[in-house]
Amino acid sequence: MNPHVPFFRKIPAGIAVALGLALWIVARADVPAAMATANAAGAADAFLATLDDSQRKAAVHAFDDEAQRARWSNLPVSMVRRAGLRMGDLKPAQREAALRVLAAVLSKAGYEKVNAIVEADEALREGSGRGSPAFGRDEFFVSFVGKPSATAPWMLQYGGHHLAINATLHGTNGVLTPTLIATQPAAYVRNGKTIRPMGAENDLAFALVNSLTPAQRSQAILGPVFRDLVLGPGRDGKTIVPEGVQGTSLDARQRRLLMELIAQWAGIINEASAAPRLREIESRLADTWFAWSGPTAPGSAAYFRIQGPTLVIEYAPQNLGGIPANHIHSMYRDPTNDYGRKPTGR
Amino acid sequence: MKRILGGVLAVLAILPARGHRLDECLQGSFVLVATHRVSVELNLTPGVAVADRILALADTDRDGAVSDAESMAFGRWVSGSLSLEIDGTRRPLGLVGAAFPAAMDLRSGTGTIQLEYATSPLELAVGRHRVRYGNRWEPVPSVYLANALMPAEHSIRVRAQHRDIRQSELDLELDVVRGANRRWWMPASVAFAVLGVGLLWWRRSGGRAAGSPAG
Repeated sequence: MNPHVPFFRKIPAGIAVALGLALWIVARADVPAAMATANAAGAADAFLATLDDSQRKAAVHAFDDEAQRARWSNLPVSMVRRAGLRMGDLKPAQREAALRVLAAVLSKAGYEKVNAIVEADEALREGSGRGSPAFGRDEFFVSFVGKPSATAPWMLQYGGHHLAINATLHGTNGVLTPTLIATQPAAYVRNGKTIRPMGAENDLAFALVNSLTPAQRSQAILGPVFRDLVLGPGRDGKTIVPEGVQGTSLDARQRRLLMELIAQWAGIINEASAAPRLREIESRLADTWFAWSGPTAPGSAAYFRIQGPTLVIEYAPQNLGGIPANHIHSMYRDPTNDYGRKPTGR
Repeated sequence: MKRILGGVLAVLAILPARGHRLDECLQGSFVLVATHRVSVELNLTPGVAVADRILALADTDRDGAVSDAESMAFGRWVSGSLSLEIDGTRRPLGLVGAAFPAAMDLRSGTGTIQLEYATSPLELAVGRHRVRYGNRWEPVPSVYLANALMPAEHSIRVRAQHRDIRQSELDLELDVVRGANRRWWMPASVAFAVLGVGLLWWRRSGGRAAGSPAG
């Protein structure tokens, strides 16, 4: 270095170094995900500001409240009590603010899917008689485990009958596992349009199983009947032995179909958090298994499971009222990171 | 009579929730194979219409609650309907633990009875093995699920799971391989310890050698 270079001539080089450093930090920091978390925390704070003290106390649980973290179910709220705030008890402005939190945590497609599941429950309420369990859009609960923050870990829980969104956010990390999505009925009509909350999951799965060669099908299709989820509510922390056809046996088109199918669950969380999750799953696709139980004719009721090193998706439909697959349960887990235990270091 | 009437009313009240299991008991089994024992976790979730029948089987003193002693007695009774064979030899499953949910949760169809069993200590030698588990406990109509848990030991590789169509039987084919279970850090730490002791000895003897001319 020449000690005789005037100071002012060193400034551009200093700026370039500083800019380079800043760009490096920005690239490493995963800014979109950090912004998504900050945005969600802002929406949550705005919602909490609309509540009175008692409501706020009911909505926010301590981050180390393990009982609340695991308090979710597929069953109606009259059978399994949820904690938090009941949507039907909120004023319209509070309710809108709660839904804005959900919209900020989820992707656009994820929010629409959740809304379609809630509306399916509303359709179930409309079709149920007096004295039936509490169904409908009023019977969903919102709560937080931990105080919403742009940097510290916290969790949004939104759930009720056939829905348990458990989203743990921690700075640049957004984790949606374990999450349960389900529906009854499988299809309903709103404003003259037929809505199928889990239609894409169903159709992509049948497309995938019917794309398999006879040799692949002999591996993928299991003999026994699976009448329920194996790793449903209450089955945290378990890893079962994978079965079916392995990713290494699938061709490029089948792998694309499998990724599209996985994205129906992994893509529920906001896009910034979903992107790295989908990349992680795709990088382990060779170690991912697809198993099927039941008929393969589209429209029939069949169970399937996708299992990889960081992924378990289960789909278990039931025939109801003579309609195959009219009552569907599904589970989305990451056996290595349910409740975001990896990023938060809990 | 009151209980039966209560059960009927409960079923009527939740009839629109008929998509959920009401008149059957979900029996989910997880089988975990280790080289020194095989354990089974059995989770029983009775539907609302059959919960009272299960509760009556466990609550033998009819006080409306299932005590720890009653839970254990229930678990031992259930084990009579379970079977486990390793390479064709029957291995009794001993009860390790039993936990009953509150009677109210059980009656609402949301409670799960958790039972844990294990074989007595054994030694699975290197090679191919076959573990067969059977669950024939059915005091009420039941739905079965049976799955192998991922072994914690890397030396055990489950090659295949076969089940009957109802999943009341699970047949596992597995290999126990040599050496895979040994952790790399065990020989490495021994090597480092030997190296460390050697270095200390060398420095001490070298120090003495370097210091001796002056002495």
